[in-house]
Amino acid sequence: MIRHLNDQELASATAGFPLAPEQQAHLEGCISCRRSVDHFLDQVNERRRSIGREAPDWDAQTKKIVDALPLTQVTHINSRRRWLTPLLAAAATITIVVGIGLIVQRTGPASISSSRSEIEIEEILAQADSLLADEGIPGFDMFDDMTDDDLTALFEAKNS
Amino acid sequence: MMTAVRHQPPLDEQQLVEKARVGDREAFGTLVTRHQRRIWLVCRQYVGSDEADAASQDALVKAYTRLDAFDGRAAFVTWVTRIAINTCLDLLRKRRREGLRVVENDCDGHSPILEIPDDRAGPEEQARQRQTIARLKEAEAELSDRQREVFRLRFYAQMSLGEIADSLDVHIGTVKTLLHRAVHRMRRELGDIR
Repeated sequence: MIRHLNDQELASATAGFPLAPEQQAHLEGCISCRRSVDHFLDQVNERRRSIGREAPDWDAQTKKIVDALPLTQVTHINSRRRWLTPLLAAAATITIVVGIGLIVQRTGPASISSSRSEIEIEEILAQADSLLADEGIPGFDMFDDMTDDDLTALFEAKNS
Repeated sequence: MMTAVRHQPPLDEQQLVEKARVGDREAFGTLVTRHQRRIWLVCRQYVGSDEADAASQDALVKAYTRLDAFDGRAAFVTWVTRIAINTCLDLLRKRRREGLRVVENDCDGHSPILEIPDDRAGPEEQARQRQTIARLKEAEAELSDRQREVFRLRFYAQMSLGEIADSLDVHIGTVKTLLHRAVHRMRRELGDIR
């Protein structure tokens, strides 16, 4: 059998904290230590019962509370979130502006290159025209000096 | 032919909270019925019996209007208890601002003679009860504010250590230390030290 519990251990037992196994075993077997704990708890329970006797009529209390509730539930904006709204709006604006900037940056060179390709095609076609204008096409030499009327008369005579 | 009567199983806490969140006052009434005793006992420890009814009503109505802020991380009752404690502290601050006397160390402001004894007890037993309660209140008066707060929440409002820690937003180890010191000191004040 170990010694009686000291004040600190009795306080722990009274507060409901777990004791070391040998202390717990002693408390269970020692009338003196148990009485010390129980005496304090009896006084506390006495006071708690006294407070309980002051309690209101719970049904009436519930009715008062329910009657005092607002008819419609109000969406309460959390105060922590209040500062977040303008911050999110600013972030969204910046994102949109940066996004548009990126799109413009990407589409700019593409339009230049397409206009460049159009210029190149125009140049090639112009060169082909000038080539055809300057030199006759081989095999078609006899037609080069003929006018449109001559060509029409030639085709009509051939068909008849 | 007998008709089977089907009983609806009671709604759990989360279902009631969800219903109350969209304006179901009856669902909130059920939550009130479940937890108002605890909330009243908590308010009683801070503002005394005269104002405990009004403070607990105020706290529960506030809880209803702020339900969208309840994220379910703590139990509903713990969340409401925190609101109740804040409501009571606001009330005490208001009293101080208005220059009203705050009865330090004895929030109920009652003289011991006004403590309500058990009606069923005889005159001698009632006198003994009053004496016990008076001694206990005197011993409580020797505690620090924080020790007394934790002591009352644990023994009178019968909250667990975890619930007290969550409600006061402190570490559970702090609650244990405060409670141990409070009990040790109370035992000494009451002459229970051997």
